[in-house]
Amino acid sequence: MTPEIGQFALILALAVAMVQSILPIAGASTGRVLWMESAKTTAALQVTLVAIAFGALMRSFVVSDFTIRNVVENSHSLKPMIFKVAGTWGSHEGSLLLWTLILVIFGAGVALLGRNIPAGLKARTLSVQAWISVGFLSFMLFTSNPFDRVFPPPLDGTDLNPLLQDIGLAMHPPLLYFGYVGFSIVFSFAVAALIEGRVDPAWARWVRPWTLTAWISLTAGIALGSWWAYYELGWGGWWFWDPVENASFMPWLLGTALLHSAIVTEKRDTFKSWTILLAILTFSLSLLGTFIVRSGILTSVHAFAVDPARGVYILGLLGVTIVGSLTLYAWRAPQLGSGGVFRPISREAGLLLNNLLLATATATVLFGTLYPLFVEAVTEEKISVGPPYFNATFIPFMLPLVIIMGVGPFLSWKRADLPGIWQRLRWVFGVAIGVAGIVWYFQTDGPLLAVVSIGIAAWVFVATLREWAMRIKLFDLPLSQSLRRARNLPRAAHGMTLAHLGVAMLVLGFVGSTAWKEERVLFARPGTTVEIAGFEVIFDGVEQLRGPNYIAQQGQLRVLKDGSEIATLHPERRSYPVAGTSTTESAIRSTLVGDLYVTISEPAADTASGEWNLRILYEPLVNWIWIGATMLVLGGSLSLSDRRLRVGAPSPKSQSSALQPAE
Amino acid sequence: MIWFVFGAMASITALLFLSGLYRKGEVLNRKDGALAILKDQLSEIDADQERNLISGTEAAAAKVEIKRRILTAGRLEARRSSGASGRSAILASAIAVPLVTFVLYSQIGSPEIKSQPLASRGAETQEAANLAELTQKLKARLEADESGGPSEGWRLLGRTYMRMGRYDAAVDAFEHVAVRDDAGIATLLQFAEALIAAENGVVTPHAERVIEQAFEMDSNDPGAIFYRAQALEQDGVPGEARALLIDRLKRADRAYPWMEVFVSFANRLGEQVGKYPVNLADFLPKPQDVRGPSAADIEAAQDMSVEERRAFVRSMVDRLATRMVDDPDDLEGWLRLAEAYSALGDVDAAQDAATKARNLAESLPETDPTRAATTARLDRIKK
Repeated sequence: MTPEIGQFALILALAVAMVQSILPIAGASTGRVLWMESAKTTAALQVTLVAIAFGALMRSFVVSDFTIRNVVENSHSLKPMIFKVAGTWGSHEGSLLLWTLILVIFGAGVALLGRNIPAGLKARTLSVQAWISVGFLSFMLFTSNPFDRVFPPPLDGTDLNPLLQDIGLAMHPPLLYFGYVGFSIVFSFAVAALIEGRVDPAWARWVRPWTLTAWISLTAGIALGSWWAYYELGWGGWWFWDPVENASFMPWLLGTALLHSAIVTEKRDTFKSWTILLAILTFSLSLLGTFIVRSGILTSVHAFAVDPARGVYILGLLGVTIVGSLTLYAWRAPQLGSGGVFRPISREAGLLLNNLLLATATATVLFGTLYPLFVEAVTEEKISVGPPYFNATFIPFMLPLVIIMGVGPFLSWKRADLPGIWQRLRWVFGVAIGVAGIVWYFQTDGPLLAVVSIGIAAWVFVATLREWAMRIKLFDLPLSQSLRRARNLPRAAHGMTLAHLGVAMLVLGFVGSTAWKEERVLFARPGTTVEIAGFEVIFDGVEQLRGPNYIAQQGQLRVLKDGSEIATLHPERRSYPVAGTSTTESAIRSTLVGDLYVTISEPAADTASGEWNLRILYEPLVNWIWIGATMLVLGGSLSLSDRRLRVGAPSPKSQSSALQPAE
Repeated sequence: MIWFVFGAMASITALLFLSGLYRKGEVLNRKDGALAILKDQLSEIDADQERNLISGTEAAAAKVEIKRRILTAGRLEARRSSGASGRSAILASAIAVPLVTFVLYSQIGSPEIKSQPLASRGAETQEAANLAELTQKLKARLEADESGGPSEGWRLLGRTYMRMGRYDAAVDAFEHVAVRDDAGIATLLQFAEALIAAENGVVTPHAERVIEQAFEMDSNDPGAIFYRAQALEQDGVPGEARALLIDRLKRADRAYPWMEVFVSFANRLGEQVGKYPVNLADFLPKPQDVRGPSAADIEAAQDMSVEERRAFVRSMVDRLATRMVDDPDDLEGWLRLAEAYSALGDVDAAQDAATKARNLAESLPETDPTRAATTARLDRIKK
């Protein structure tokens, strides 16, 4: 009965969503309170019903109910319980259900928590959110039903992929989706504002928590995915510019621009068009990401054409959403008004540059991701666009961005005093040059760009600290007073500082682990010694172990530094006889300075019997990536916890002219 | 029970809709919403100033900015919203939502399939476990046999593994027999099937060799031809594969169950090489011996007396019965005979022919449509 209850709940949710997509918005334009307020009931109903469906599917996975096709294809009675649970969102159908669940959670969040949002805006927003809901619920029910039944049921499921049995991967999609889908509510707010024809600081204030929530989750999701790839895949890389990764990275880039653009709208009542456009595009990229990952277009453009029902449906959804919202934008945006004016050197100008750089960087990633698909569709040729393209096109946009990031917070609104800022920042500049010089002295063999990048990271780091110190008047006042000021500082200010420091850490990690990575691949017999990055690694041999459902060949390696033993590493090669596959378990000696990363595999050639294929990597500073990402998430959360409306008044010196346009 | 739960879910939804009818008419409008936020902000600036977080001049500048915004917000039109109108639309949704849901559910739901958690399927899993155990025992015995184990045993083992979906194990089992002299075409074909299944449908060079071997044994065997066509298709010559299938279809002397598969396979291949689709009917032999009475017979029968006519029909039926002795595999013949006897009132003979027809029908594969048709005709005879 459970699966059918889930099915019924989904259909009921679709019917409720259809009502919500019409009544509230009609109520807002005719002034009918009952209709506007019905969104509260329908949003709460939707979330309850979809949660019932999700619960029903999860129960079916937990008890291995093989009368459901989805369970048969994505589970197995022998799977550990946690991965049965994770199987709920492991498949195409299940992940759509999760997608929809998050969509309606955000809708219900706005309906029930957004008490300070005016009824008209709220009603319109919730109707737009319901349009998306109707699209996805019908997509699911008509092309990818998670509750399709099989009768008679087979005795066991068919999926027991050990590579996917990893806790990081189990948690990855929910977090990523929370980010992806969270931007839907920002999109709905933007479309509602366009329909209403009004965007002002209050609007930006109402939208802020939702943008931040989505951005934080997406950041965490991407970081977790990259962490998983690094530890589990055994290749020693943390980012591959793979289309699936890009699909989540593009909304993140634009979402970051949106976050900053919305601050300008909130504080200065300007950048309205930018903010709305970024909100629309960010969610469009989330949808595009869902489409790329879910339609099977990645395996082959032609595979997508063989079973077109799903692909065409989601392509239609994508087209309607993007074309529809952009048309509305083109029509209504000119009426939004331009808001305040500003000089070329000002906080606004800095954030404008930030928007431009992030948007352009997104465009290059989008191009690199879609280009192979176009080529395959037109010429039948399969090509792949790899890291060289992305590194060559993406980094040139990011480095200037990071440089501006150091200056930005010093700029005052509307007009800034550049010589004064230079006064404060010149010693920071000196420190950055100094750091780059020291790196250059010790690491002459690395690429010049890496040395420059480290200098830039130091620049952002010190400049951000300097700005924070300035705010609390550190060293200008007695320490106790400075600390009191720090306590009283809005949490959003701390959040920005923390997040910008996090970016400095990220750059440090990115550069260190790519530019000065060392790698040795060799055949080793017991006793073989390898020199890498000042370490001496001795291979002691391999022994066979038996795990719960696998057989492992475990190597032992001793790591020596300056003659004394500092660590023992145990990389494994596991084979799973039931599934007929094998996995690589890397062994990592992790420190803040760098990771020593070892994987082992049996050589394929018979001639090399008794020798083992060892791969030893030294990745300097790689852990700073996860530390930086954590700081981004914490910074975002601090900012989220700050409920104040931010106001950006021009600096007092120019108070007299603050009341009239500058130009 | 399940409909009761559905009914409850739908009614609760409808009731929640109805509860919206008596909401209060007061809601936050845009103007008040914006003003509330701005006033909040003014008091925060005062608080910041008290805590010495911003200087007096900074606070004054910010306040001016906010007051300017308050003025702008004050110009917003505060539209009055009407409280009670539009009740009928809510009422309509309360009715429409459950209605739409039930209609849609009746289209895509499967209320008749019970949920079956694995734990509740003890008997079935036990049976599967028993089968697995027996299979294991059989395998152990065959492996222990010093003479290599009887061919029939390995075949049984292979077939069992195939049914369990363990294609790799099936390949191992069939491999033992395939190299023997008594392998036979059926075993070779089963071996080829296992090899292909183990590779997810790819005809490997090994599988291709086995298929060739079977084809050499009997180039007429539909199984060998089918797999050979599959190999040719994967070699990139769908045209040749199609020709092979069509050629065999043309040589069919009557309707066989495999012909339907051949026709659809040939048509799939035909699409790749741009040939028109073919029909099963094109390959069925034209009825040569008209079994019914000829026109002359009918003319003659019209002048006969009842007795004479009866005798005439009887003689035709006897003729059919004699023919059936020579061709006992003709399902259609047995059916007609049974029908004829039944019409003549000869119950015993009718039952006899019906049994023969039924036995023949049961030897057909389950998917063969003639099987169901036969059963239907036999049921009519009984009555």
